[in-house]
Amino acid sequence: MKALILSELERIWGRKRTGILFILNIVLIFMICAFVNFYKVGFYGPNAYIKLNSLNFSPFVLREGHIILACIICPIIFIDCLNYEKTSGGFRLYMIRAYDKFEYIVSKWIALSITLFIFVISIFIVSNVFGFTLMPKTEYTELVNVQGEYGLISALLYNIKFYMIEYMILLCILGIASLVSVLVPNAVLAVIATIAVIVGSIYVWDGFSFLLFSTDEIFNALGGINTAQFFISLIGIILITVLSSGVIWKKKGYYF
Amino acid sequence: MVDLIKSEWERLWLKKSTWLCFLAIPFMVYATILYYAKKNMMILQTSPEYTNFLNFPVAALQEQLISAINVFLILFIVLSITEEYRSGQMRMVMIRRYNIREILFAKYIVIILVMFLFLSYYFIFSFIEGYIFLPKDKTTRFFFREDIFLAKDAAIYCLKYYFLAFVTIIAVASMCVFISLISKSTTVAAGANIAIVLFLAMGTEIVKIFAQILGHAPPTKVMFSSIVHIQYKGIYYLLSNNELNSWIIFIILAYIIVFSVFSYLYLRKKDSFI
Repeated sequence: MKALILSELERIWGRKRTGILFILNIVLIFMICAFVNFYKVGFYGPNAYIKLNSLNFSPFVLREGHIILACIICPIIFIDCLNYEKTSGGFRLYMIRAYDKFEYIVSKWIALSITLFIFVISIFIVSNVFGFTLMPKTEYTELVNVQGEYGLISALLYNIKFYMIEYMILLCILGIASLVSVLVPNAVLAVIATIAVIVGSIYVWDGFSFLLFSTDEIFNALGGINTAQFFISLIGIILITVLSSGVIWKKKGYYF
Repeated sequence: MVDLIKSEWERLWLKKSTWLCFLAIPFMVYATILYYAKKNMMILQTSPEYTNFLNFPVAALQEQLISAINVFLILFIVLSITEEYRSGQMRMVMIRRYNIREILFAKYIVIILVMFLFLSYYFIFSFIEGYIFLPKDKTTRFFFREDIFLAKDAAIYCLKYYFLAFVTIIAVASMCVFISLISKSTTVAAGANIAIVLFLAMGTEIVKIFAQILGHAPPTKVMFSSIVHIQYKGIYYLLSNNELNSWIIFIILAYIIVFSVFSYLYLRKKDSFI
C-alpha cells in the first residue's frame, strides 16, 4: 500500500503540469495579496467588511484564491490522476501488480490529498509571510463574526482552523471529482462535469454554496452561524461521494 | 472538401455528449425562467430588467452565453480537436489525400455550424417556454434603448441579438481552437480554455475596481477588449448606436483574424503528417 501511494505521488509530481500549476498558484496568490493590499479592507459579504492587519490578513486571500483552486487547478490534477490514466490506458501498466483493486483508488485518494495539502499549506505560508511583512502590524485584532480581541497565538489558531476547513472543502471537490471520473468515460467530459457540478450545486440548494464561495461560509461556520448544517453537509458530501465512487470502481469490469 | 465536412459532421454527431448538450437546452431555459420569474416580483413593469416573453430570449441568452454556451463550445472543440489530434485518430483521415490544415478547417466549419444550430434551438425553446411560463404583455423594453418595442420589432431585435451572439461565438471558437491545438493533453486543453474564459470574465471586473481605486472612470476600451465582456454587455451596446461600436466590431474581427493566423502558422511549422 505504501509503495502504491509513493508511486502515485511520483506520477503526480512527475507530470510537468503539476509543477507549472504549483508555480502558477503561488504567483497568482502573490498577485491577489498585492490586490487585497491596495484596499487594506477585507470583504466577507456583499456589504460587510473589516479592516485588515497582519493578524487577520491570510483568510481573505482565499476569497479569489479558492475560485482558482476549485475551478482550474483541482479539476486538472484530480482528473489527470483519476480518469486520464484510466481512459488513456496508462493504468493498465501498473494494475498488473497483485494488489486488490480497491487499494488502487484508495492510494489515489491518499496521494491526491497529500498533494492538495501541499498546495493549501503553501498558500497559508505565502499569505502569512506577506501579511506579517507588509500589512500594518498590531498586537490585538478583531475577527469576523466573533466578539472580542485576539492576540498573536489565538489569531494564528483561528487562521489555521480556517485553512483546515478550506482543506476539507477541497477534499469535498476531490470526492466529487472521483465520483465523476468513475462514471464518465472521457477526461474532457470529466473536467467539465466536475466544474459543472461545483457551479451547478448552488442552483440545487443554497447550502452547497461553500463549494464555490468558500470564505463567507467558513466565516459563518467559525462564527457559530449554521455551524452544524455546514459541517453535516461538508462531511456528508465527502462520505457519500467517496464511498459511492469506491463501490462503483470495485463493481466495474476488471480488464478495461 | 464537402466530403470532409460531411464526415466531420457525422463524427461529431456520433458522440453522445453532443446529443446530451442539445438535450440539455430545454432544462437550461427552464432554470433561467425560474430565476427571472423570481426576479420579476421585485421589479417595476416599465424597467428593462422586467422580463416578459418578448424580451426573454435575449435575457436568457445574456447569462447563459458567457457560462454554459461557452463551456459547451469548449467541450465540442476539445473533443473534436485535441482528443483526435493527440491520440492519433486523425491519422485515419489523413490516409486520404487531405492534409492537416484542410482537416482542421473542416472541423472549424463544422463546430461553427453546430453552434449555429445550437443557438437556433436555444432561440426556439426560449421563445416557446417563455410564451408558456412568463407574462404575455403587448410591449417590452431592452437595455440602453429608450423606445418601447411592439411584438414585431422585439422579435427582430431578438434575431439581431442572436446573430451578433453567433458572431462572438465564432471569435471565441477561433481562440479556443488555437489553445486546443497547442495543448499537449485533453485535460490541459479543457483546463486552459476554461481558465482563459474565466480570466477574461474576471479581468474586466478587476480593471474596473483598479480604476475606482485610482479615481478614474472605468476604461471602457480596455474592458471591451475582452471577448467575454463583449458577449455579456457589448451586444447590447452594438444594438444601441453607441460610440464604442466600431471598437467592439474591431475587437471581434481582431480575435477571429489573429487566432486564425496563429493556428495557421502553428500548423505550417508542424510536420504535415503528425
